[in-house]
Amino acid sequence: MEMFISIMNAAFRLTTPIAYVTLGAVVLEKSGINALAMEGIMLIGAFGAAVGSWGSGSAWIGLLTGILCGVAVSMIRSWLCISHQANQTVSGVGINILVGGVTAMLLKIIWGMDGKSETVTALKDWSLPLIKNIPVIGDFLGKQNPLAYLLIPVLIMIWILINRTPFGLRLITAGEHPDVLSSLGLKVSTYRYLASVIAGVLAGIGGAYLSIGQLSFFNQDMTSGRGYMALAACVFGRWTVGGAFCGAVLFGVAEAIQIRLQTQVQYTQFIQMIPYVVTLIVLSGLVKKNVAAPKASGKSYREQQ
Amino acid sequence: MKKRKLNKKINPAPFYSIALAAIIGAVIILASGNSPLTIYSKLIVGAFGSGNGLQQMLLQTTPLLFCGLSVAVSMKCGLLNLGVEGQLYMGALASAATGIYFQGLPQWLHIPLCILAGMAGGALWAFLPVWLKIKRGTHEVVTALMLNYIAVLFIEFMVNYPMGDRNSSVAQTDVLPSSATLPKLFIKSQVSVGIIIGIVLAVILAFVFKQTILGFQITLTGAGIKAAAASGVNVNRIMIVTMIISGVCSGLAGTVEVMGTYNRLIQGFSPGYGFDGIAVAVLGGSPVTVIFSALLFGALRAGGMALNFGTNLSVKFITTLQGIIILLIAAPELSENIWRKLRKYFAKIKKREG
Repeated sequence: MEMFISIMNAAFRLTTPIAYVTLGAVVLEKSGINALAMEGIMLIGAFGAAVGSWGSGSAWIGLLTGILCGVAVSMIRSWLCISHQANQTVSGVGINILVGGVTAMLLKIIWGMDGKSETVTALKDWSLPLIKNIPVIGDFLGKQNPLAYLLIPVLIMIWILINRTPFGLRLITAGEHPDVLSSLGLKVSTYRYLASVIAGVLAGIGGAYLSIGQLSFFNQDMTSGRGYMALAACVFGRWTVGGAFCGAVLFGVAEAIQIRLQTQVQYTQFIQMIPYVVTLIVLSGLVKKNVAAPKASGKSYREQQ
Repeated sequence: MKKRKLNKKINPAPFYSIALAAIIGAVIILASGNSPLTIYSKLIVGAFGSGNGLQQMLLQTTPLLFCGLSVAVSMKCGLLNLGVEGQLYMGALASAATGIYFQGLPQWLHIPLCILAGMAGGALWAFLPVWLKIKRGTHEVVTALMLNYIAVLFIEFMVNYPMGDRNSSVAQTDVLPSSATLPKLFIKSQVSVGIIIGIVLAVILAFVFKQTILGFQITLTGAGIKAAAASGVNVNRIMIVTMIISGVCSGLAGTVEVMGTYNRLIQGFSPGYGFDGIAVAVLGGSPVTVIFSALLFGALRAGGMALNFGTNLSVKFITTLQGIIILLIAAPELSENIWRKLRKYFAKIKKREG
């Protein structure tokens, strides 16, 4: 039982960053831009948060700078894709390589260190007095990072936004049938830009959680594929908000089990493989062929004059 | 009679992009508190200033050439092979294992055997994503990336436990027997004949794309899957074949590093050559021009090492430049527009002065 609680506790903590990025990936993919760049956006979010927190001494300002960095990079990528018809796969990879280089370079310029930043102020855990006293649930829901609590309202908000608002409907149309949206007199690019702002904010939070939530420093390439897993979760959930979130939870649990087992086994490399292998199996085994990806995803759209 | 033009018009986009990237790079250098002139001259001197630098450049070019070819082949077919890093490691593992466990073979047999094993290792790791894509409709980009992480961890296990050199504190295998190492190009240098193998491979690939039916079918599939299928091309078969060729190239990258450069398999020997390969391929485009872009990035990497000492920049500045170049080439309209605007602007200034 104790082991179960500790794994659940870890799963909740580890799901949080992937879940934020996954929600961002869903919104972005729905609008017709592929989410390959989420890895880079998440990494710049983590870096921006660490720098902001280090510079100001306040973790909340760090969160803000992380979000701003995420939005900035997300907008650069979308600007290339929307206004300059860039190849989305290549530009996505380009962003990831660029951010990997820039963060490692700035790490040395700002802190004079290779690979790791100095310790920065981290967000302190919140403890909820009422929930804390409930036996099992209180053990893992009673004391968590504020960003972990924030995830639940964000999830509901994104779900409502996509499924229950006119904005969401137009966003989906931008990804499915951009011509229809255009013929209604609405600009496809506006919706795609708005989607990339949302994706930037969410990936920024997800990244910030890594550097100033879970840890209190920035580590070179600290996202280690979580952005790609978010894309996988999005595919797993068939591009629906709820489904993708379940995918994120699955990867969070896989990672929690991985960390738990690492201390007990000699050949840790195989244990470290678990999240990646789970991603592979889930994508190739559980997802049916030809699931409904947004039809115009990955295609640039030239606005009709 | 008009003379027939022999040289085709050269695509200017790569040159625009390099120039723009250099300008953006200069801004970054200024922002970091250095002088662009000092840094750029340091880069050039680092790569071309000495015999050592030149050797370092060739050393860096070799894996970049193979990885660049690998990505370039996959892009011809409309796929983007993002699993090069994992394929490189699996190729390295297969060739190192063949080198270490098959002792006592004559050199003329052992070297080709190791190279073949390396090619097979890379091909296997490239085959998996495309096979899953065709059989199960799996997102090939995500599977390839996940296989990268799995390959890196698997090599980590192999060099730490079953194949590890117990007398060394570094995670690496024993030295390969001399029958399984490639001859060196220069005395007292790590540069091996691997780079020549790479150039030959590039020429062969260029021939395949220009002169054979297979090459034509690959290009056709890359231009549009539906059209290719309608004209009778077995699209699935072509995609598998392309990815296997691509995987063979990446496998060779690892093989040549193991058999030529280090003579052993070392944990984490690749600082991301697989991802550098994307920049090389995107800039180079076709197999023969990939040779030149590999040389360019090899020179940048060799020069970039000089930045690690005495400046607050590091070799990661080169990675940043690579990212910028990829983005500029991904959006060809962007760099052309910027150049057009710049030209107009200069024309205006000239008018005002004149």
